[in-house]
Amino acid sequence: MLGRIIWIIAWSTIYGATIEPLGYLLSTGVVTFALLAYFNRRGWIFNIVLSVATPISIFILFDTLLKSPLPRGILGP
Amino acid sequence: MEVWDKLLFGFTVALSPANFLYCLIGVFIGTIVGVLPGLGVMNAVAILIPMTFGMNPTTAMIMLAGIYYGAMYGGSTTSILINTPGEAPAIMTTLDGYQMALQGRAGPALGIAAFGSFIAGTFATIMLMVLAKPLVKVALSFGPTEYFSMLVLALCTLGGLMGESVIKGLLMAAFGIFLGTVGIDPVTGAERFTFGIPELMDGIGFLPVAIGLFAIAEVLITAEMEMMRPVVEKVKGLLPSAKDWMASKGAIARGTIIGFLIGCMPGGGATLASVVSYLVEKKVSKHPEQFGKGAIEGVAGPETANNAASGGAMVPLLTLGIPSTGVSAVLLGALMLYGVRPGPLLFEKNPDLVWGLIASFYIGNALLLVINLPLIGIWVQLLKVPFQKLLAFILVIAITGTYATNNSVTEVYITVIFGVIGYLMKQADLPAAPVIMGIILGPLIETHFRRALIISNGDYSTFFHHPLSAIFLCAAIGSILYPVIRWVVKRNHGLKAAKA
Repeated sequence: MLGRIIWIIAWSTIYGATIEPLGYLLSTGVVTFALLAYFNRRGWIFNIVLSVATPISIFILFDTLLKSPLPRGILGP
Repeated sequence: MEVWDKLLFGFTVALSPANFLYCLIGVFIGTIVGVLPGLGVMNAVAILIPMTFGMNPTTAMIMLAGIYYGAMYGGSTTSILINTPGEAPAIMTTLDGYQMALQGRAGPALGIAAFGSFIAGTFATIMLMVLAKPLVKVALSFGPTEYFSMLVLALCTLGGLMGESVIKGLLMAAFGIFLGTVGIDPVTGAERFTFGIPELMDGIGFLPVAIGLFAIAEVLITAEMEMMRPVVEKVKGLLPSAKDWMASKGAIARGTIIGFLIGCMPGGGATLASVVSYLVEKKVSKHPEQFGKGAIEGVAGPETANNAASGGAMVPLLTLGIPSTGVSAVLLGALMLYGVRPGPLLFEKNPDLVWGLIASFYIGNALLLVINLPLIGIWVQLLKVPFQKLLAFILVIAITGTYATNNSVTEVYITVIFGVIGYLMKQADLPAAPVIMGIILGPLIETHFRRALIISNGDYSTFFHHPLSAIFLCAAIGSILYPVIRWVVKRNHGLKAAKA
């Protein structure tokens, strides 16, 4: 069970390290997918859809609706 | 009547389209949070605070408070349908609620919980209005000396009365106070515990700590478990029958009063309120043997009491600026982040916030009743979502919230570190809420302490020369010593019994 804990902590740390250089959308997508791939092994389509939908919906929520800008990174202008 | 004018004013604030919408969103999210496993009310409030920074503080508080009592309600749904309390205060509801569900009476159990919560919420709101004025009057006469002692009392009672170990509670509160001292000394400007790291000069914010200790730690804990729970799916006939009402009307009345009084007390809280209410109902019942076998009073009492307690907790929070529970400490922290100073002056300086919030409690409670009775089918479906599928989403949104608060990667790392600390604390059975109390109240206590000493020219006896301050401090000492006294009395009792 320790494997699960280490996996979550490792990806949270990677998230912190990549959020600014890679940009919010890419970084969040990768982390979401990594976590789902580990915890929800049956359901690849669900995992891929959620890994795309999660960053986009949270980005719109914070950046567009709540006016709290998130880093664009390499995707940005 | 002056109060009615103010309440009317409050309704005009709370019924403005934006505030009404966020009240609805708040109670809706709250209910979802209450229903979903592995997502507590503290997590939800902490995660959502970063999203409220762009909002007007009144709107933000209306939404956060909505989450609070929405979760109280949602927690009861899981207690009844899957025998698992969604929130700690709903723990007593599992005893009779689940039994009722097994007997095919899930509908009336859910119904009486909803109506009981509504009645309690309304009563608590009325009492808050009535008590606010005299309490504010008293509070306005308080100086730093009284505030210091009162905050110490709030901190000391939290660990003790929650029913857990007093030592563990105080230990964690001390840890929180320590975290609160990190940064620049507010009076002398000296650096404290920063280890030369520039990011620590502003101190450790309560938000990264709260999100780490609650949200991330909860994700880690739940990730370890395999969850498959049988759900009682047949729910019909939500309206309790006349017989059910007759059986539970006393329980609702007693639960409301017990819950409200306990909610006002420092360290009280909704969990204690529901436990006390259940025990009282069992005591006064003519057929105590039916408790635990599906007695409707066993659902009505605790459910009413925990909602009344969350209303009661608003009394010290709004009038004195003193949180009596973990959740109200987080709400206090949120207020301070918005730049609003909680305390008696709040009623004069931000009447729209206070009265709008109070009016929103009525609206929120009515909304809960309206959205919950028809939506019960959706909540049942939601109960079947395995946590494994939610985990990634919760983690990502928690970290996004931390990051977005100050656009600081350092705070993300602080959150992750506190996630691990919170996970280890859970393993050691150490409570997390007192840490949050400590980190929020610590700096306030320090400021009042030093101000009081400046006024008294450094004479420490000032805290016992002010009568109210002396009473608060004695009560604080008493609350720490209470378990010791109880132990001595019990032992003497035992010795006498042994001799006889």
